[in-house]
Amino acid sequence: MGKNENLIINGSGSYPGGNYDKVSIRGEGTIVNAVDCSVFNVYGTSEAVENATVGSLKIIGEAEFKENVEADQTLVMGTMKVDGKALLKKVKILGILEAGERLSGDEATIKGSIAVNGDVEYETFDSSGGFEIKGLLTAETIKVSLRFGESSAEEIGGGKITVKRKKNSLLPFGKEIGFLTAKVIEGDDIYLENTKADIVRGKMVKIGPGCQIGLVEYTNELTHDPSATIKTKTQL
Amino acid sequence: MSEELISKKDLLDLAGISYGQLYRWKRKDLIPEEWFIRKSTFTGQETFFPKEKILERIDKIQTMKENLSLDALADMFSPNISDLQMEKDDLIKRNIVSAAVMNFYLENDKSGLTFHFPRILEVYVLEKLLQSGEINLDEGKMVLQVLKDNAPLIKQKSCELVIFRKLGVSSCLLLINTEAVHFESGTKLVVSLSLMTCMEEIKSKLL
Repeated sequence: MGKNENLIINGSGSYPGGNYDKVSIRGEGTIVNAVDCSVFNVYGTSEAVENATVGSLKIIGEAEFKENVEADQTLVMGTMKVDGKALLKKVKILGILEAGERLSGDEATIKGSIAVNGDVEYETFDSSGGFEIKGLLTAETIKVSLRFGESSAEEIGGGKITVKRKKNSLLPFGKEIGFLTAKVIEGDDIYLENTKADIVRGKMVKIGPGCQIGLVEYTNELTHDPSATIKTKTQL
Repeated sequence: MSEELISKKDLLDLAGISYGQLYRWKRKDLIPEEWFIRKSTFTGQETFFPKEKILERIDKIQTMKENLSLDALADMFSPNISDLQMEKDDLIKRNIVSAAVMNFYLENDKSGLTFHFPRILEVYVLEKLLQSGEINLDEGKMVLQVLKDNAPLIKQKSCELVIFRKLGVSSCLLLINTEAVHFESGTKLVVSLSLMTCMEEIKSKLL
């Protein structure tokens, strides 16, 4: 790249894709072809019809990507929707992210919420918001803080998995507590609170308060809180 | 071609690896998605793998990860390395192809002495089949034709090359993502060769 031009949309319009240095959309903009740029900022509403490859992606308003997205840095404060695959290397979600297929990258921080129809693959996945994942959530370290609502994933797998409930700091007197549901949770080092799961498999498994687990299969060690319910425990 | 399956926990036990490692390798695409076979068992959901393939792959990963990064390994296992190019003499020097087979190939394919990956694969398959004496030169031409005609498919799918004879007449075909093939009893299956494995073999020779 280097000497590419900027694309600034103030107002509304539909523009071709191609290589840009900086894309900034303040009104309502549509980019009809594949776009490659180092900075992509959306303050209004945008739609990218084809693939987008971006260095730094910042969405304060609303952005919709009809195909795949690749970005090194992503910050979503508004709403981002991707119909295809999303490769967001370092991502921070304060708003909402929806992905139609796989979401992957290195580092994810979720304070808002994500809804993904495929798998989610990260090296570190840290959520204190909510998520709904139809496929497998996998990461080296998965840290989930449950504040409110229900988070779910079909399967969760990784090295270290920690799920903790957190008091809602905004509404300290609110009764609502967060819950996590998954069919299968597998990892080497697992700590769970407020989790409903059919099967938990791991080396070191700690089942904390508020859990309902169908089957726990562990190799080294299992400890559990008296208030947790576990139907079957098997040491392998 | 129906395979023996192994459950995930038996696999971890047998290979001596952890969940973390297995999932890490999956994330790096060292283990293909198709090998994760989800089944419900009486204890609930369980993931199975094709036993032979996964054990072989894990063995490879474990022996090679000392010298190579996971990303380099991923490139090696992925079936589409596109930008690789080699000269004729290089291929012979690295023992991928013998000089005799190379000459035979170049008689039939006159598109030059620089080989990109699909052509390396073609010549490697010929080398394998001709050197083992399983096919003769005429059949070699036929195999080459099939590989050339279907080159775009071979790149992305897991393909198997099957050569068979009946009453001395031979034919060959290319199977894509098949579970099994059955022949009539008078037919002799000469060879069935997984192109995916060939690609991996080539890559491990190149490194």
